[in-house]
Amino acid sequence: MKTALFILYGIFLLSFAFCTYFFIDPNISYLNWFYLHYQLGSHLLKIALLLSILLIFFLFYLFILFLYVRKRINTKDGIMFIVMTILFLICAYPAVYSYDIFNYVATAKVAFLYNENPYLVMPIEFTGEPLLRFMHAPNKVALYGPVWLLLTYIPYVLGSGNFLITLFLFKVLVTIFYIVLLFFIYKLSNNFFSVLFVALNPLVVIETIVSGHNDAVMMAIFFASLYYFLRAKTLLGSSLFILSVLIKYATLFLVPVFLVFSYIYKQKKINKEKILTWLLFGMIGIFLLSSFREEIYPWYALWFLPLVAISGRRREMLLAILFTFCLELRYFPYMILLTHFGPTPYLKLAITFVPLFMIFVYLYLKRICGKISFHFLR
Amino acid sequence: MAYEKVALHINVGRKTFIVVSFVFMLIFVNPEIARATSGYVLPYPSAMPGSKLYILHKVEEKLLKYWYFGDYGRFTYNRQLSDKYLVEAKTLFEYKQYVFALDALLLSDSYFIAMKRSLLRTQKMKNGRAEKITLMRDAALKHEETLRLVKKSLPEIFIWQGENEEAKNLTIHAALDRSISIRKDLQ
Repeated sequence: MKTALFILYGIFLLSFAFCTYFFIDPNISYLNWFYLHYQLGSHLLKIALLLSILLIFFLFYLFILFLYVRKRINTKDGIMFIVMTILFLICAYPAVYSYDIFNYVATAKVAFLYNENPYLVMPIEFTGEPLLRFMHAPNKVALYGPVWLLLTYIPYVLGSGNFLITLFLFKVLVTIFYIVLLFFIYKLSNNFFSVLFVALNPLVVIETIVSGHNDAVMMAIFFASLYYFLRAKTLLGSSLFILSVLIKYATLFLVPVFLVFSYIYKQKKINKEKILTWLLFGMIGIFLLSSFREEIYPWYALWFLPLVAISGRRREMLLAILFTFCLELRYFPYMILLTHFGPTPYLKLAITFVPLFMIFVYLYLKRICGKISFHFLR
Repeated sequence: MAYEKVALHINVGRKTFIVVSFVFMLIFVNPEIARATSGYVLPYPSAMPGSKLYILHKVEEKLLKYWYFGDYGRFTYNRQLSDKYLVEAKTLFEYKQYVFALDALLLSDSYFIAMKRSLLRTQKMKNGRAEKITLMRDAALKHEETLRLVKKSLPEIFIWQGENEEAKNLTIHAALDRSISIRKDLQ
């Protein structure tokens, strides 16, 4: 059965990677062969395809976690699943769900090719730049921290001016940090289930290995800092923490939590679990506050999901899985309606929070009324 | 009847001629106004000399010089400061603070020249250079328009005597003409 699962999962990943090439922007001249020879005619078919991929991916994820809990697969098998996921999906076309990776490349180009300050000069100012044909936000200056900008120098230089190589090297860079994140999750939890919980979560995989979002980079460095903090290596921990803030600023919100708890922890007045719980609350807080800036993007789940993995209980983990599924569904109202206005924002809001709200209501009722029987619904 | 029709035609033609001539006159009688139409917008006046904030603004300027690196960054830095000091000079002229106004005008000129230099340094093939040149020309037009407007209301020469100082002639028109010629070089 294990072999069959490996084969089926491999086939699924390969199909997923192939399907991403249906979504190539016609303005990407580097890949127009795919656009001209390999496409789905119907828009609805594309949506159905993405929805099916998401559902199947979540079913595989739950099944693998279930098998691991039941000890039907071991750690070695789990590592094999992670390696397969990385190897197949690193080849996927990245701009299916989001186009941020083009912005990363463009920002690196502004800084290292044009030698301009990307925090002042927007890509759109370089009229005639080929990236402008398919970028979706060329009218934005660099949004991320200077450490991220410096890191992008590596894929940019190694790409030696070739757009496609550069694009995929950006994915490789993010994937390396995804592996680092998994390593520190294991170091902090000593539990491989926590690693699997994050590593194979479809949201994490899609937003990190497929789309190449830099949130995994920020969280990997943050987890490294947490690891050293908890081992009383304050200087190294603080340095890494600052680096993580200078990737994407989200962890800045944790500064007070870090300062207070590093002091209390030293006095041995608090245990590791409590610190992790408070950090989880902090990251959920900044995740929810992000809606005031623009909106809650699915990849922001990476800010709290690894913390759920190392500090959450079983029920919280199940809620997190449901929530990540809902977050990935946020892409679909726009895909179907093709507008960011009208009912789209309300649909996104409903998709994200209504299922979670219903679960909370159910749990609350269960708590106050004892075990509720839903036989009348059957 | 035919005569009346011809007369009517002549009458309509005359009216059209008068309207067209009037519109033509409106546009071309004062070529300076017509020429000076520019979509470029200058900033609001900032802190003025004498204000405590003025020193802070000067420090900020020095620091921002390092932040605005790169050809386009430097171009933006110089353009913004040239605009800022032009508005400062205009405001100070209006308040008859001629010494300060002339200093501000000199600063605006120097930043304007620096802006031109930052674009000259830029590689000709660099994407977006043409748009920056257009922006620089728009800025030059607007500056010239402002300077001409200011010049009209100012004396040619003003004799200035500070406390315990010798009187000196402030050649205001000459200074404004020099500033205009710097801007004109770019158009």
